[in-house]
Amino acid sequence: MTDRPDIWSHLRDHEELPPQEVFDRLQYALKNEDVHLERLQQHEVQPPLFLRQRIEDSSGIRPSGSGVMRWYLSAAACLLLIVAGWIVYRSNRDSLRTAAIEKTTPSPASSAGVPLHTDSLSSRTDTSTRTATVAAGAGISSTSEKNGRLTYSIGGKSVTVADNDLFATFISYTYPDIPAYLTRDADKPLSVYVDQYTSITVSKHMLEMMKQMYQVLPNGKPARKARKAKRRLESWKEKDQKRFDRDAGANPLDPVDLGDFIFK
Amino acid sequence: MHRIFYIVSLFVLPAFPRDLIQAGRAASDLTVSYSIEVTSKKGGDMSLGETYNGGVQTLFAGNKDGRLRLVSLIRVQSIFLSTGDDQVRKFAIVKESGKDKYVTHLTEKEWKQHNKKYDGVTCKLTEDTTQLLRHVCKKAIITLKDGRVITAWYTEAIRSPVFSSLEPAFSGVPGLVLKYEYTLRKKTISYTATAISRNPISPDVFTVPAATRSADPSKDLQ
Repeated sequence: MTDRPDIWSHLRDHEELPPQEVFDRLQYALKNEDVHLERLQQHEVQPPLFLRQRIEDSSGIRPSGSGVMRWYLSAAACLLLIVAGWIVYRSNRDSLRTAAIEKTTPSPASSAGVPLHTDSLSSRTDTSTRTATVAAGAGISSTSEKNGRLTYSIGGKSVTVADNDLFATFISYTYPDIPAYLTRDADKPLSVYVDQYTSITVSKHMLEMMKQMYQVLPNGKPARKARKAKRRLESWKEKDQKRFDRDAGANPLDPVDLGDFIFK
Repeated sequence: MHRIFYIVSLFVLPAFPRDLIQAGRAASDLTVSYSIEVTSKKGGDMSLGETYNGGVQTLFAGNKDGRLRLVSLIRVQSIFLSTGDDQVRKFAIVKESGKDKYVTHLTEKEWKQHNKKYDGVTCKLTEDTTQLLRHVCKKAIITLKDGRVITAWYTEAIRSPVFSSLEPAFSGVPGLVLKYEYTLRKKTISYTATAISRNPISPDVFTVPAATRSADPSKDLQ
């Protein structure tokens, strides 16, 4: 009926009520006889727009949303969920990468007496005096591991740290492979970037002592002062180990224990 | 369309990483870095103290777990605190640097014994204030039984029970200590907070690493 031309519309102006008996008979038929009305389900007639408008105006209620709107909302929710999932996946992948780096463990020491590899950073060629980077392991690290050894970088170049021990590394260089940052004028502290949580500094006095330790005679052998300074630094290392490695009662993270140790 | 939405949800939600879900605990995560300075009234070379001068002590505080980590030129060492499901707290001291790395595991009782010197300390809270990292800090004077004194500056705005567990000296301080110092023979070691972060801490930070040997052979890990 919807798709057919409305040939009856011109009859709208001519209204003629059917006889009363028609109503009666129709009513009787609907109630008592099997009338096949199913086929009427196939015919759909949209109500005129003005009817909807009048109903809305009189009731003051407007439909909250159409089916189309709901469809768009669902689609938007799906899209949002997919985008959120993707972002989370990316962040998870990055964190897994970081975790993989963090799980690197400290490596064995370099052989005794063998100078640590410094990527040719020598006092004669390099005058850089800046930040170093060192990994410290134990779940917190940010630097790379080269051939199973932790490394830190100075001016973009990597330097191996033996046993994650910066002090031992700094006092174990041999002439002429001494990094410039240890022999420069100690006018300012040396900053060492450890990881995202930590950046330590080597004090001026310590740098002065290290510089003294690497003083050499014209023939390339360590000066007397240098040997003395090295013995002093090595004795500090031994004292520190004796105090905090062996004595279970002393805690270097405790201000009183540490103060008592370094001030006595 | 609704069915599609539910199906998509079924596939996407399980893909959410465990770490992110755990990041829910991040609300309680706290990282505080303290710089260590060793000074003398006379000035000059602090001898052995120079090996710790310029070091950093970092507090990692999670919901139940914690870690205090010292990084200095001469030593890298951590104290780990972990709380089990049964609320039993365990401590581990880990030396992370040098040839002789080790892990020592302690029960809460052993940790208390380890810090016996802080039994019976008096904590005097004063009205003196200073500002550190935009936090108004009050002064506390902690006196040990033998007369040694630690001066601390704390903020009441941040509280971390993990901190006092790892630093028993501050168990009587009602807040997070942002600066503390200990003076002996006119020489002072001071710890000053340089950064406070609420960023989520990776669970790996709280994981006690394996060591080459244990300080106590009976508790050896490997």
